[in-house]
Amino acid sequence: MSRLSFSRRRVLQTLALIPATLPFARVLQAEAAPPPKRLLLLMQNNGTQQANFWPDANLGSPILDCLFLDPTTKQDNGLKAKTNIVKQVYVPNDANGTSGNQHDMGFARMFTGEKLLSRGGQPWGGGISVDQRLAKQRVTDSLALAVVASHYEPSPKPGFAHRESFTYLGPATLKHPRKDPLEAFRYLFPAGDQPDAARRLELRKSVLDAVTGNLAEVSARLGPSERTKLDYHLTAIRDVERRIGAAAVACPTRPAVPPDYLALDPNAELNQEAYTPQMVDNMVDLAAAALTCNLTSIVTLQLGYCGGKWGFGWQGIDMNCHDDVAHRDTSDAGSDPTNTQRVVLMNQYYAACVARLATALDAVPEGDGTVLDNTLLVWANELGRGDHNQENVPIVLIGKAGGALPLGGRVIDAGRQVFNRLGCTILNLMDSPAAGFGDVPDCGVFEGLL
Amino acid sequence: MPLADPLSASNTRRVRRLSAREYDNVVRDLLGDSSRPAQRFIPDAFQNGYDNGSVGLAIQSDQVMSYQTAAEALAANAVQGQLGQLLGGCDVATAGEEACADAFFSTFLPRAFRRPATPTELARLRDVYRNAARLLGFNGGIQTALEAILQSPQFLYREELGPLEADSTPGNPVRLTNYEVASELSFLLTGTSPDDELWRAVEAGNFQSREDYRREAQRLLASAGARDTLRAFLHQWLATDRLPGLTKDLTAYPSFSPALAASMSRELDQFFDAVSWEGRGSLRELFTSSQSFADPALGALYGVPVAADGFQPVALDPTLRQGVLTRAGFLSVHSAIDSSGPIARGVFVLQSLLCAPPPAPPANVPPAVPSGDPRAQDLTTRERFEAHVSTPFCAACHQMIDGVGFGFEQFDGIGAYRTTEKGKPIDSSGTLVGTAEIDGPYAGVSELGTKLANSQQLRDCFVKQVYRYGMGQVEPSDSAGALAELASDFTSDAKLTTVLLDLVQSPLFVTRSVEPARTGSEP
Repeated sequence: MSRLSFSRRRVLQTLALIPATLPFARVLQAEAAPPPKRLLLLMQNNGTQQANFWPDANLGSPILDCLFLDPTTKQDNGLKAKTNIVKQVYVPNDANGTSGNQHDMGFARMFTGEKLLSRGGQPWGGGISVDQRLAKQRVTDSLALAVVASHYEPSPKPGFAHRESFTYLGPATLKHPRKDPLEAFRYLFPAGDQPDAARRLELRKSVLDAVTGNLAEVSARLGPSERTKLDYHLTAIRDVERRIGAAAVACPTRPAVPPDYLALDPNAELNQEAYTPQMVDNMVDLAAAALTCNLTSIVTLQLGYCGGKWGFGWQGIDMNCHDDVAHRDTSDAGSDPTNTQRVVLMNQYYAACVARLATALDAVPEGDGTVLDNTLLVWANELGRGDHNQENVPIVLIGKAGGALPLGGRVIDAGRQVFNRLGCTILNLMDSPAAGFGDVPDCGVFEGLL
Repeated sequence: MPLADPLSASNTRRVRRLSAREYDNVVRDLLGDSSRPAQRFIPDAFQNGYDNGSVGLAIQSDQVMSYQTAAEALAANAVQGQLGQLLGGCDVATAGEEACADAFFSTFLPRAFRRPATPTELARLRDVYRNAARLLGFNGGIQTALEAILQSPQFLYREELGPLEADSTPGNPVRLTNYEVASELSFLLTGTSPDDELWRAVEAGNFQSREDYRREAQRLLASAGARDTLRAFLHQWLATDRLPGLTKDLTAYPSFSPALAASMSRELDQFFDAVSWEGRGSLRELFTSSQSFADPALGALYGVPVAADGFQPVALDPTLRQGVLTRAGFLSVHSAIDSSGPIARGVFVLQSLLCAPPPAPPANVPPAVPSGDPRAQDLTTRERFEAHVSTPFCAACHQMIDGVGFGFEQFDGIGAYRTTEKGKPIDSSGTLVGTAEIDGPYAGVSELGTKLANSQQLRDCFVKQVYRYGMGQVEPSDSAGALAELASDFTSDAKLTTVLLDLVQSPLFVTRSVEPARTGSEP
């Protein structure tokens, strides 16, 4: 089980003891204070164990206890009051003529809202995902993180490149997540400024200016769909230009430097699960630091790839938990007790990861509350149940979204609701009014939530 | 070789981003740098089934930063170690800085852009040089200009645009420039930019006709780069490029190790080379040859003694080990982590060798009993999966899939031959169902290889795979006629490279259409 590395007390202690030399980072975003509402999307695969997920009146359940109770003291960690869980969310069984199955539908559609799109025979997300849509509106770059290495099937096998990410720059165009914690750390916290930093910065800017000019020259000769490709490139260059020109800021929640996993094992990000729990902890801590230090306002974190095949050896399972565990969870009540317990253990791990992340955000004071109060953390799943069942997909919303979601401690059960309402809800909570999302342009927000 | 409608299988004017493999090859050839910086880039998307698919290769900020990091390191190394070469032999001490900067922009830049730079591109890059030289001196100026060149789209993308003055009426065909065709040819056959001889041919006007393309293609096919590239294509087609990251359950297969996987990969490298360049070079040989290569570890797996260290030619038992489908590398990739994989093997044959993918599995597929399950203790792999064909719900597709896959049962999950499983004799009888002309029973993979070698469907599928690889895209749905005409003379006994030679001489290789303006809103 993950240990919590952040606590409010520890952060306050850290803030009080900060020496003159702070760990510095460069802000990735252009926004100035006050801090914008933050969005954090956390995606898991393979469904939950229905009977052990949905809570009682006190929001207690074998899986959710790992979200709401401190792992050591078993006391309420304070997240319950800031959490809303939406019941009866479903993803339509619609492959839209692609080769996609229910894993693909949930994974690629959840945050794009669009129908699957066939490109090169593979089923891709059909549009821009909500995180990238907001990043575009805010003229900022999101931080996309993932841990996907799988012993049972190295991530993801050829022909399944579409399963690598749930976040999309545009139709059939993935935003690739960073998979190396050390590289992500160095991206967020570049090495200290060199003596010739100003000169280096000026030269880099002149290089990127020339590149931008050259790019525009090619772009002008292309038709609309090809030009879109270079537009992504141009946007990316502008993100980098903003980043290298940004001022360094102090980041008291900067985590320790993660290990160099690739030096330990060149396949660490491909097929080795020995490092997975530690890598996930690193990524969770980096996500929390990026948001609490305002290095970006949008973070996505992906635990496993679409239809992922983790072995969960760290939870005492160590078997192909996709084919040989999740697929065998064939009813809401569970299948045989041993298998049901394995599905519970898998999902308790995810819940603990979410808890680590949410408590880290809740430990940092901001205004009258905490960073979590200015955040919307969405914990979603590609399936409802592991046997490809698309009903009752668990959707957990944590944080007050800057006051837009003041109530918590609730399970929202307002009847069957289409998944598109999740994207619509996110947009509206993030101050980007929308009537619908993706292929349901008038779906509205989750009923009973606001 | 006239095509029914060349444009049906052609493409619009486009740019194709260098794949990681191509990027590393290009900087090796351009700068003499073998550090392979692209191995840390975002992985290629394989949207055409191959690493060079242009469609999904969008660039995001992480990639821009990777390009920046790589360009800065490459430029620093090149200026330190290869300055004379960058300057086209110009000596700063005698000719002066300005003359040598001119030499850099007139000799190096066109090779990096794979065409002469436009005046505006040149002016921009000269500005970068001048600004940097003012701060850092001449070498710093060249280094910074080189950084800009290596991050420019003209370097990172292969252009397929046609001449600047081409008619831009939507739908109109545009003929690519000679520089663009030279790049296309060179990347197709050698995975890198045009070499000196091809470049000189273009500059001298000796690269304009189909005969010129054929001549240059034949010359390039004799190079080491062509061996590397054809090998990469065959590995990607057969999915054996997965061998380096392959894992197995060591309880089921204690002899498996990354070193054994590396040996399997190397065996295929040598087998592909021998078939392509030393043997008849045909599909028949690829699917029926029992000649191969092994080191002692692989020899033990094959039951063939190999005395010395290193790889040696070996003759495998032709009744068991005919063709690439019987090689340990192929069989290991197409199996489960702890058992053989009749479903994976069957799907692969249908999808990638016959280009007839079975439909996606429906929801709520009844799971097969896992190999580690106590209930599977006495079941063979075939018995575990038999529910597929005995359940009417599954039978329609699985008769087709398992019918092929069960024929591989004589080989376990790492490609070792076996006669029993769980104490029961192996049944390696298979059946082909729903193919164009090779339907019927077969016994064992060697016989399957022979059947495939006689199959027009395999030949057509191979042509399609070459098209996907060469054109960087999956064939459009209305391109059947054009593809049928492409390589219409290709047979199972013809050299594999025949298809490449036909492709480079076909109109679709040199023609692009002007993309229509977008109607309606952004999707």
